[in-house]
Amino acid sequence: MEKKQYERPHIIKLNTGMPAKFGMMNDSFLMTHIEGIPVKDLINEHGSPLFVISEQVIRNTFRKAYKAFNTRYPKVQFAWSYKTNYLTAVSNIFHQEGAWAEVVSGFEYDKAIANGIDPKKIIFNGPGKSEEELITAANNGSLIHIDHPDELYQLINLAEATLQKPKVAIRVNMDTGIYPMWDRFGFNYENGQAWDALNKIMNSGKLELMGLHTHIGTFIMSANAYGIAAAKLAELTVGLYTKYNHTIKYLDLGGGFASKNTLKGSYLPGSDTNPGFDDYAEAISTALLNSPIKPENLPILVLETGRALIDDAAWLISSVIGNKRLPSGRRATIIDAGVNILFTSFWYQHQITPAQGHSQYREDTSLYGPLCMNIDCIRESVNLPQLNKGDKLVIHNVGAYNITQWMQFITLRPRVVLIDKDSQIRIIREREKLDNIQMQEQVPESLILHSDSVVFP
Amino acid sequence: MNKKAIISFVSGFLNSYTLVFFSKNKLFGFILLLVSFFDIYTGITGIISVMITNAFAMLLGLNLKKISSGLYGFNALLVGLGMGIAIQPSVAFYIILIFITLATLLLTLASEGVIGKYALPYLSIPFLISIWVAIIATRSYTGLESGESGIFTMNTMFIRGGPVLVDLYNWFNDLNWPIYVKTYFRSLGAIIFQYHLLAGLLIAVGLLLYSRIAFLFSVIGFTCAWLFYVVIGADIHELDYSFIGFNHILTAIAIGSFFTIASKWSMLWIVLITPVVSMLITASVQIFGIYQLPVYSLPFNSVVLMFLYSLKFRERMTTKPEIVSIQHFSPEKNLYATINSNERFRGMLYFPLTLPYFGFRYVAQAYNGDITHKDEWQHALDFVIKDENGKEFEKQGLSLNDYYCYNKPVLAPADGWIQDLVNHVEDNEPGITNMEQNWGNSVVIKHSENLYSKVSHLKKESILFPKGAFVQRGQVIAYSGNSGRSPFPHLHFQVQVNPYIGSSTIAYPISQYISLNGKYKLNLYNTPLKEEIIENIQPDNSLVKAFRFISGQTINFIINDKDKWHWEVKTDSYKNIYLYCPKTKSTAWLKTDGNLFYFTHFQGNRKSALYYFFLVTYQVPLGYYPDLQVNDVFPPTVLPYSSLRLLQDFIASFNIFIRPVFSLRFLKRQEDMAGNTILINSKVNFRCLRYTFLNIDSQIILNDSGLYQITINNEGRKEIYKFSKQD
Repeated sequence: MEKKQYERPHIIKLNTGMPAKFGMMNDSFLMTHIEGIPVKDLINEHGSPLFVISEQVIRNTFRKAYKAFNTRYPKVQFAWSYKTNYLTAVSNIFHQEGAWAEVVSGFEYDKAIANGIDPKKIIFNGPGKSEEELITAANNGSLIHIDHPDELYQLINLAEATLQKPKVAIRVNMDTGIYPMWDRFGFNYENGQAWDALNKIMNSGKLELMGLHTHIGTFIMSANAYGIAAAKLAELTVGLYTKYNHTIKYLDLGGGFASKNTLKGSYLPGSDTNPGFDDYAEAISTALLNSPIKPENLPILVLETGRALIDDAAWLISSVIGNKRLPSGRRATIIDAGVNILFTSFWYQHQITPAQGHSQYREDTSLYGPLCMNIDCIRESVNLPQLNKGDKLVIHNVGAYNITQWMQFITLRPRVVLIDKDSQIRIIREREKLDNIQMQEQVPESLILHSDSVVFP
Repeated sequence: MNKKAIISFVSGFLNSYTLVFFSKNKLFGFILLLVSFFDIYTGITGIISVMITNAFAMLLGLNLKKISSGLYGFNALLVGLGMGIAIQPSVAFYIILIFITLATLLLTLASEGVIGKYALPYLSIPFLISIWVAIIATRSYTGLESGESGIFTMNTMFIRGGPVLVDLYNWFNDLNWPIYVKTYFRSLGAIIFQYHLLAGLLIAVGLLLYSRIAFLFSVIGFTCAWLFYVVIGADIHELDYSFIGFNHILTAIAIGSFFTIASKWSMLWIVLITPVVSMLITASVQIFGIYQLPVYSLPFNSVVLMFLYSLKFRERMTTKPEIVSIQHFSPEKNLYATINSNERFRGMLYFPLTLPYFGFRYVAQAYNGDITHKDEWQHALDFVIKDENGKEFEKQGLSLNDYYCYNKPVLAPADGWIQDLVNHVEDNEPGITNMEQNWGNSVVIKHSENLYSKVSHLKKESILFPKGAFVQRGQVIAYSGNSGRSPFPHLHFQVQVNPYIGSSTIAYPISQYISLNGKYKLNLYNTPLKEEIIENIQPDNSLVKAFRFISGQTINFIINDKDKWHWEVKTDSYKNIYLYCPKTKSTAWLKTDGNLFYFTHFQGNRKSALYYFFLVTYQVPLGYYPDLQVNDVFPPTVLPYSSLRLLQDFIASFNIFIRPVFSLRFLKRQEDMAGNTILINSKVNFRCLRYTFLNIDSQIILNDSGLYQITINNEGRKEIYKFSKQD
């Protein structure tokens, strides 16, 4: 039998009367194993902190999402959003499942090609594409999503010299009844900018108009907004058919599906309140199937959702560095994972669970990272049992936006491991060493320090 | 007269001769024409009557196609031949001939109208009535003399052909052949009123040229009659009297191989019907003897008509023997085409119904299921959605929303009208069944008279159309739920003859679907089985584009980078689409319905590119499924004629051993939003007795612009067809 965890003595104020309607909020159930592998072993083997990703969870989530759409709409294509997590191993799991690639920069574009994806299956989004990048993408037959008028003009000019007619779509922004309305990307639907751009494309004759794209926002909590977006794109599709006899090949509804994370300021946990794939699929497919698009012309539905596909497939394991009591009386715990590797802690109240046994007693705790910066707070307040130095914590739903937005700041970035479908642990990104940072730097001769220690004869 | 009319007139002339033997074989027609000239006056009379009847038909403005196929000529020809042999030529005779011919034409039209109503052929009934009328009438016309050629054969022959002909005739008559053989040939000759061996021999050769099967049946029919006479001890010489033999021969050809598909079953009926014919002959000879009228082909006509009519009353054994539905005027073609199309398009008679949902689903209960698909309601299908772990729900499955099959679109399986619906039944919680409202929310769609489909256990208030609305195939009509006798969300589908919710079910196949059992499989007009995972074919745009042939289109391609070729896409008046190669005058008929492309028939040059294209794209599903393999079989007629085919023709009623097979496999697909590039391999093979007759391996590449390239490897000879971009 394992030795029982020591907890120092504590005194609890006795509350009489009725408990609150929801009882005590308690999100700290125990998580000693991830996908059947003890957390302790993972840390011992790979160090702390550690990102752990599960291949099986990724595949299951992807299939579930695909099923949600595929059982409602005949032609569905997912495109993996590189910016959410572009580790090659992760991206390639999605590619193996049939997802294409959605990239938003030349770097991501090159990364996708290096991962081995066919350039024809890359959707090139984003407002900042350079001339060289546009030419490469056009020559490769990638799908270029035009963001603004200057990009449109640039592409029409470039089209003279490209090997093939650039395949394009335009990004459309629109009012779908949600706030904030993302109007900084693409061409507006309501004021006619979108039609303006489409007319220019059709009349130029130099671009191959393949699809229409919209991306209404991020972490959208209302599935209905997607229904409105789909209906508006369908209207453009029908308009193009009537006006130019042009059939749109695909409608890209973008991403922005909420994951099971809880946004800061939410009263109820996201896993209970956020819409699921079925809700989004229902809204989008119903809008398209009931639109005036002829059944034989139904476009392929492209989805670029990233967050909802990867968030719950990754965990961040961290160790307790120390405890202290704040002057306010609140308890504070310092762990070895900070906001530099967990960027999303600015947005979410990440679910955090201990990885070892503990008693019933819990206390509101502030959870701080190891950085010597005031902002390095993982959770302002989280209900946790008493933790000792060296205890492990598991931070949930960290798959999206962390491994791409993390930074080398104050400390180095940790290792990332993948538990593959045979439950084998594979290192998919090695922890950073000093050399990795140093090798990028160049030091002028005059600034090289020479040891000034006095050598005594 | 315009060109078309002249062509109709000329081809109508020869066909009038061959139609006597149910054929349209031109060479056979020449032989018959020649044989009719053994008696020169009879021959001339024959020609005159055919010409006159077709001229009258033109004058009357009858259908040119029918005239050119000889349908109005052959009865008149028989009348002409019969009159020619019976009456000496004279001016009066020819005048009478004109009007007897006219009478025959009118009788032909009357017969066509009356007998045709029953979808039966009128055979030589107009001839019988005409010639009897003529015989009786001419008895009073003293200006006419009875012909002597039938009586004083030698004299006539000497006058018309000199000693050579007489010698030839005698040589044949003195031949020491068995009486059975001689009688057979004489009976054949008698069909066109030439009662001697040489005529019979020539006709037999013609018959053999036209159809081995018909020849075989003529022998079988005759032999059966012979045996019957032997067994009952009747006077064999009665059979020797040629009218009697030919009735048996014609009956055997007609019933055994022409109006039905030649088979052991048709043969059995020939054996059974021969004594009936025999008795009819004897009886009718007696009766007609009173009026001194020959019975001619009366027994043949009456037996064939009665038998064909009887076949229409069948409720079982409908293919034993099978009635010819499309007449190719050749027992071989009828047989090969029918067997091949039965094998390939067994289900084409069914109204095409597709699966009423998107994506792959699991068949939880099929026909004759062990839960509820029983008795009158046994022909139904239950579909659910399962995940990779074989579960129908996520989480614990405590809420309806956890079930994958809950709240999913339900599609119309085919075009039709909403006949009836129930929309108000509450959905059950998981595990609960509502036995009161058994079917729950349901929609019945009327597809045609007596064909309805029904989907049940739909979600409450989810039906999108009111009663009477027209819905199209694949349109979302409702959402699946858990109402009625349904413990867990599933979609119930059935086909019925009656328009009510709760009507009994009928077995009805699904037109095309893909089943997945480790491997993808194409199913055509099949019934899904329990535990199968199936979906409708999802068309791939490149495949659809490559095999979409629209009338008026021209397909341009280059063979081996040098020769420019093209095919034209055309349609005929029956809306059949075909590819036509003007250089080789070859035609390949095709069909496509958006999910499946296939060729039905090829005619023309068997060395042409079109022939190879026909072979290697014989059947192509228009949806891409990795490694999907399609198998098909060609009729023996796809190969050029050979001694092997001769053998095949003779035994075709029992066994088809020339079975060139086709197989196609999807190898690879490169996805591209503009249009996928797809690589297909197809093989055409036929080997027999260690000889290879056909061995083609091809590689077909398609891309966003349709057909791109076909490489044909025919026994080591390689040809590459490069197609120009199709718009």
